[in-house]
Amino acid sequence: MSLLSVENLHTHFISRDLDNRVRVFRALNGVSFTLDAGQVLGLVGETGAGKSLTATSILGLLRPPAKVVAGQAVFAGEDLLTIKEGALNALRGHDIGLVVQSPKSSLDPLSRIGDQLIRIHRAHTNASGAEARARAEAMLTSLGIPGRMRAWPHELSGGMAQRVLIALALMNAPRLLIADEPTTGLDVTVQAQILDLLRDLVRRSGVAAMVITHDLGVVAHYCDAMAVMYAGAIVESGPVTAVFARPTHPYTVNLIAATPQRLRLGAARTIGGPPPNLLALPEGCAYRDRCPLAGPDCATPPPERALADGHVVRCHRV
Amino acid sequence: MSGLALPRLIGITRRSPTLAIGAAILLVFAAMAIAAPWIAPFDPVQAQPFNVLAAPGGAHPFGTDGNGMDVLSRVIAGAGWAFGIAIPAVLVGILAGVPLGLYTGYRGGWFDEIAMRFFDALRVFPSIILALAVVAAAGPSLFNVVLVIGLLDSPVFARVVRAEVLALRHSGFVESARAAGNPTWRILFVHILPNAIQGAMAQAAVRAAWAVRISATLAFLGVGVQPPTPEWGAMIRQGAEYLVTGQWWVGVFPGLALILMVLGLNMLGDGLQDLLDPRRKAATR
Repeated sequence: MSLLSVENLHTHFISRDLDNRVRVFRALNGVSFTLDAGQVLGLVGETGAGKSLTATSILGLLRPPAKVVAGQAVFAGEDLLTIKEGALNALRGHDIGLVVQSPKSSLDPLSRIGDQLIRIHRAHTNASGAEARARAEAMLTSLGIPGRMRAWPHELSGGMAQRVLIALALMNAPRLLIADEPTTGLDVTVQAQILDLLRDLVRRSGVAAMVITHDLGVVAHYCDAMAVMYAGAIVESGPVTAVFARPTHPYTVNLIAATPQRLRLGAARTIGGPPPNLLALPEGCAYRDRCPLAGPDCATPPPERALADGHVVRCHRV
Repeated sequence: MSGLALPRLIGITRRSPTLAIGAAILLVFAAMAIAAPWIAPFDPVQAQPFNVLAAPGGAHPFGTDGNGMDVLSRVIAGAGWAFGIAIPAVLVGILAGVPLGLYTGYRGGWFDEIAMRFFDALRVFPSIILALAVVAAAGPSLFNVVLVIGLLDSPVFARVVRAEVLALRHSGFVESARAAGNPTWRILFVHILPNAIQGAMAQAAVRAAWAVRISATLAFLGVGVQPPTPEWGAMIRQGAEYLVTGQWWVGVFPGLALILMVLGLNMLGDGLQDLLDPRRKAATR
């Protein structure tokens, strides 16, 4: 059985406009995926596709007006979407670690990083202060920043802050690690270091990881499986090798084609047209308006087609 | 750290003379309040029936009042009463207002809306009249005066803290704290409070000035601390009767002390705000 199984997740932003009419912003429209222990899943898609929202929905971190309206997210046998707040708090930070984007603003500016590490450990375990301190020191050492227990968050560089966030997420040896664009805003060498570190940790400890990114290179190098999101739904998913070898959904094809190639100058290929308006999604396939292969049958919801090796596509044109 | 005390003091004085002057005034008053039994030439409540309304000079530099009590000794003793009312009152205001501001700001929604409208109502109502009514109804004890002033103060602290919380509650580290499985109370008191308290601390000095002023007003109107307690407001009220007959010293000296102390507290509060908020400083300099 898989560690995390998300089924048909729908998250809407429900608000009222100036005429007091209900406006429904359909941000997630039936996201489904599974994640096994020891597996690294890359979630890719353009800005606004719902990658981060998938993570925050699963973790129960949504705030009004965002609301999960349907679906389930079963983690180790429990549905995270219906579980009580107290039980969810026991899981968050203990069994599920989250590494957020913008590391520098995600550390409490008035606590030394050692104290933050010790606190998250003691909040979830019975460890003594000395035990927690030893673990925190070991954790910082294993992440390549030894001896920084007494540092303040403002004294850290972006890369170091990101390492501290990873340390925080790993302090309680979680079974699932969710990394939301862990390398945004870091320069390329640091990006590679952080990602190598994450991959080593996953390999060594056997945790499952979900990496949210819009960088296909990251997915190709660091993930086992991938899921491509478009307009709040997963349009194509499968093992990384299978998807890159045979990208099938027109959006995935265009996304891969739009990736800048090394040593090839000139304008990059782009995907024409604006991202879809989530207030008024087209009938049927959400990609229909921008798809070069669109035809009249695309006005009906695309079927899910299974190809070889767990490679799944939602498109009429397969 | 302590070896740097003097250079640091000079640095703060340079950056905010207002703060330094305010702090100096308050230090003098604090010293006065603590040392009152030793530096006051007379017992502040000892009446001398044969030396009533003596003009300033000689053994009584500030003169004596209608009961023959030494005005200088009474002004000195009054500092203790002013602090003794203002400090607990501000503490009551902080203890009631800060948690409320934290919670309403973080929770938001209808609860926040109702709490804030209630505070608005409280703020719109003239506080002196409200204080007057409550103290008159509950009795003019020191405890009641402190409690009423403190509770009237709490909306100010709630507002200041709430404004900070509104800015902080969606910040990355609060979201991380939620993702780390912290219960709400922990997020509020461990993570948000230390980051939101600065504004309230600067506000505390300003509110203490207000507390000194309003406790004097209550005493002046006869519902606060009662004579012959050496409270400045009560002394001013006593002195007001003699102003028309020419014995100005009975009311003027406590009045000057009151003005100086309120000035000192306000300067301290303004100075703290300048020091804590670099943007404000840039705008005023």
